[in-house]
Amino acid sequence: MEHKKRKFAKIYDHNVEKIYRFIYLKIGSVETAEDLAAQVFAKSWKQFKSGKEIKNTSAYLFQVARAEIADYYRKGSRYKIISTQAVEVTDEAPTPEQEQKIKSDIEEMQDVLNELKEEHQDVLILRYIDDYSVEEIALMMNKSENAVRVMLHRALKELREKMEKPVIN
Amino acid sequence: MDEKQLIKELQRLNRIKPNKHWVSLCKRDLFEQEPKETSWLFMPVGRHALLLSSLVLVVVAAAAGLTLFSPSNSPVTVYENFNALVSKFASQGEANETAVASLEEIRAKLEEISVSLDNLKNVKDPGQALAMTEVVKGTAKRGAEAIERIKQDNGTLSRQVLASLVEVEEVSKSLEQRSSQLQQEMFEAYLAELQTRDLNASDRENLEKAETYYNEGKLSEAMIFIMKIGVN
Repeated sequence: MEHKKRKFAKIYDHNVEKIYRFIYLKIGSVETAEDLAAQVFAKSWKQFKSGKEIKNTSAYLFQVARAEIADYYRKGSRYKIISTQAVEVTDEAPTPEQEQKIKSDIEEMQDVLNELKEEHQDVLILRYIDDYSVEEIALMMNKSENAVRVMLHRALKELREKMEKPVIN
Repeated sequence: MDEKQLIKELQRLNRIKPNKHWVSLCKRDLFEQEPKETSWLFMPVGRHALLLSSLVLVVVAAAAGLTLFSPSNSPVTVYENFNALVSKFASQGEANETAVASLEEIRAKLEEISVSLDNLKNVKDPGQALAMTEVVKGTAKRGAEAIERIKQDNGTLSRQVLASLVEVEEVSKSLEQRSSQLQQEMFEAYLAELQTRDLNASDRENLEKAETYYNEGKLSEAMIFIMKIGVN
């Protein structure tokens, strides 16, 4: 059991940031993202320690995360609460103004991203934010690599259109 | 906005990171939710009891062996003592007093073994006597090791128990030293005696191997071949 714990602890360390970010970007609430990410790891640990084979842990974790998010919305939480508390500015010593600007830009991007189709959001987050390869994303989303490439192309197109759309106040 | 710029904008979102405190807390909770091992073996006191019980078992095993060679003691008495000690450990609670009493008995038993060591010199079969010194030496060594482990994990032990442990440890070490010395003396005497015997080819070969191992300081290996002599 200790061996399994150590192994899963490594999986946790390697994936926690990405899983949290993925959930946060889809939900928009720090607290909910923390709760759901914790559930993702608790469920995955249960599976892992039971000895059932998990071929690709990253893919498995994302599948669990997607199921948790779907479940969250199914239970009636339909509104995304956007909060920038989760943004950790990593630039070296930014001024308060710079920090505010970064947060504002991120929030803006996050808003646009949330307007996209669910699958387009997922594929963009996984490829360009979490830096997964097309092959890995194909495994995570249970699609062929070609399908992922096509989806990426369409998602970027959709994103560009949303970003270029004039803001009407 | 071209594709590169769009991707760059997207990549800014990787600045979103979870709170570090939450990350470590979540990890801790993940494994702490595990049901605690309820077996007594995993409880601190249970672990001590196990170690003490192991110690009793080896001591009693050695005592039983010695008694078989000692005409003054009856094996029945040894088994009675054995049963009494084991029953005590089986019902051992957290009370340090119980541990002290048990350790006292172990120490007494070790001293008894130490005294009985001299009897081994009178045993007719030197091979068996040598085997017994090996048992005693091993017993004493394991006893000292067991005590060391108990001392290292001494969060729940009182000073009184620790003092008793030190006493048992000293007796164990002294017994190990004494049995080792005796074993060496007996081994050399036995080797000399065997060399005067008219041994068959197989036994001669065993004797040579035993001598070789003995000269290399590998007493346990030497013992194996010594014990084979005269078997066939």
